[in-house]
Amino acid sequence: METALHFDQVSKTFRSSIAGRRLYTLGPVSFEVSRGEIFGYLGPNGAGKTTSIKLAMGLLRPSGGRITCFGQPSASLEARGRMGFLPEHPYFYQHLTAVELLELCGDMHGMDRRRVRFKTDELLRVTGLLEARATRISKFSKGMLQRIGLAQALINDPDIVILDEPLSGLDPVGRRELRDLIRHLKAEGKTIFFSSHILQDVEMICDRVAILSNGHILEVARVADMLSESVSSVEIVIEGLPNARLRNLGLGNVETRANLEVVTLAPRMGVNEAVTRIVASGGRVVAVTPLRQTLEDYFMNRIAGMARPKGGHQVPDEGLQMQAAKGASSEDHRFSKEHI
Amino acid sequence: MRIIGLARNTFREGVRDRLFLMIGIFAIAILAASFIIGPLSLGEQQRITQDLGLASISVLTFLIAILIGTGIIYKEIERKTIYTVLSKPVSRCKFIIGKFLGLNAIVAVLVVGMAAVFMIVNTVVTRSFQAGLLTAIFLIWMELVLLTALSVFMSTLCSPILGAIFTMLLYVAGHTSADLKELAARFGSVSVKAVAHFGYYVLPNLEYLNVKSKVIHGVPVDGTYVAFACSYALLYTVVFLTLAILVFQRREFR
Repeated sequence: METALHFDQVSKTFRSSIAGRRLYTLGPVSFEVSRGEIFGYLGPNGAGKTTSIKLAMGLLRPSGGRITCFGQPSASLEARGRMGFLPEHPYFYQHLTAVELLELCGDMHGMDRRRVRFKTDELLRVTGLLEARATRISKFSKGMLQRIGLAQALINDPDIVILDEPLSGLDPVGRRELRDLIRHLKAEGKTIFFSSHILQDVEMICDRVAILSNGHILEVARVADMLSESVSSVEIVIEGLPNARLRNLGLGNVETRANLEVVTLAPRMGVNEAVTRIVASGGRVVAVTPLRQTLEDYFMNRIAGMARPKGGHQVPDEGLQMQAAKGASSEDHRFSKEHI
Repeated sequence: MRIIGLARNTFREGVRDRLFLMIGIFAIAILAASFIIGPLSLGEQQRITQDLGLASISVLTFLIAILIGTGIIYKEIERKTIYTVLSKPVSRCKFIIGKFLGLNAIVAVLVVGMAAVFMIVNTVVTRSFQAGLLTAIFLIWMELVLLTALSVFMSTLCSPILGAIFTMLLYVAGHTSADLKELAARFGSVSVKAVAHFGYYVLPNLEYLNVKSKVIHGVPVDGTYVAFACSYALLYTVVFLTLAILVFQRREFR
């Protein structure tokens, strides 16, 4: 499959302007994003996600390595013509209306006026901003800014869309709409590369993810593979056997939920053996459910032990506000059955 | 197309800025005031009207050029709107030229508007249309082209306040260029001489573009001189824009 975006041994070092002291280093970072996939870029604050994206967009210059987009240097005008970019916390000209901004972006892509008008109408409709077409951007809410940001990123019908924290600041409805839109873009054959701190969303829509920590890639893998690798246990729901008898079988932890007995198998207990014993004891198996970790748990486990360097990374990357780190990784998240 | 789009956006931003509107109204008011002040000066009505009018056009448009120009690139970086522009297939060179042209469109509108009011007032006061004044206005505009290029260059280097201070210093130095040479001759200190010589030989001599007194006193300004002055202003404009582009090409946006 054609490579849409290729980071090849990319590194970036920031030094203080006075003493030349090394402040922060990214990489070397290497990964490839294939054409047509949704690629998630994950990492805690200061990991280097926004720096990587700025390097890809030519806003920063790499200290080493090479970034290509469809085989061309990603900072070249040709490559940028095939890219759409939504920066983190989008900033646009406050004096322009939604239509004027999109027309300006069309001009910057060298598009002819007729096509710009057509795309403007289409994108305002898709992003739900038709009503606000003549409203100045200074009056836009955060959610509306994110939408107009997405619209300007798509004005040139790009082959690859690079989104830096596109889901931040959106309410649940907005997040769902954006997820649907990203899926729609994928269906149109576009490649989507995005960083996000909302791992549930990443889990729901990404084909592959890269996990970045302390400026280095820890892992690049398919989301499905990460989740299948991470089966933590198996839960068997039983009826017809009292709790005490199940405990005597020594299968694992037993608890009663809604008049049913639920056994969470001990680590070395095989499913077949457990089911055979339950049936032999007169119980009836209602359900057998493998318990998988969510991407968030996988992510937290993966970066656990990756201590940050003294003083932390000093280049601002306000990307990841880990929900889990804030205590949001509840039992509900850890043992979500959504992906079973 | 890209340059025009960027220039149009800069123009639109300037025009929608209340500051521009306020200074524009203020400028027109001053010109209109010369209509009232002129008659108060016995026998000098014509000269006062023309002095005041040309000085207003020169100073107020310079003020606009400085206020908008010295922040024109800096604010794009500070407000991070630069991310949107430079992620599009727009070269940094085109970006600078687009911003410069947009700024000049603002200045041109202001110059034309003020010139129109000034010429009407002057025609009413003197009861004659003096086309020679247009030569002075044209060279004021040329000076502004040069100064907007300088302010754009400053904007790639430093904050708007510092940029405005440096641009004003260069403006003053440019209008006192001949004095700098005199200064160099009078002082024995090597460092003062070096600074004065640098000022004289490197900085633009803006007095070449100042024909206000000549025009007011009826001294003819021939076409050859105007062509020379224009070329001189445009040469410095290209130098300042080239420097701005070179600085901007090297910039990174954290």
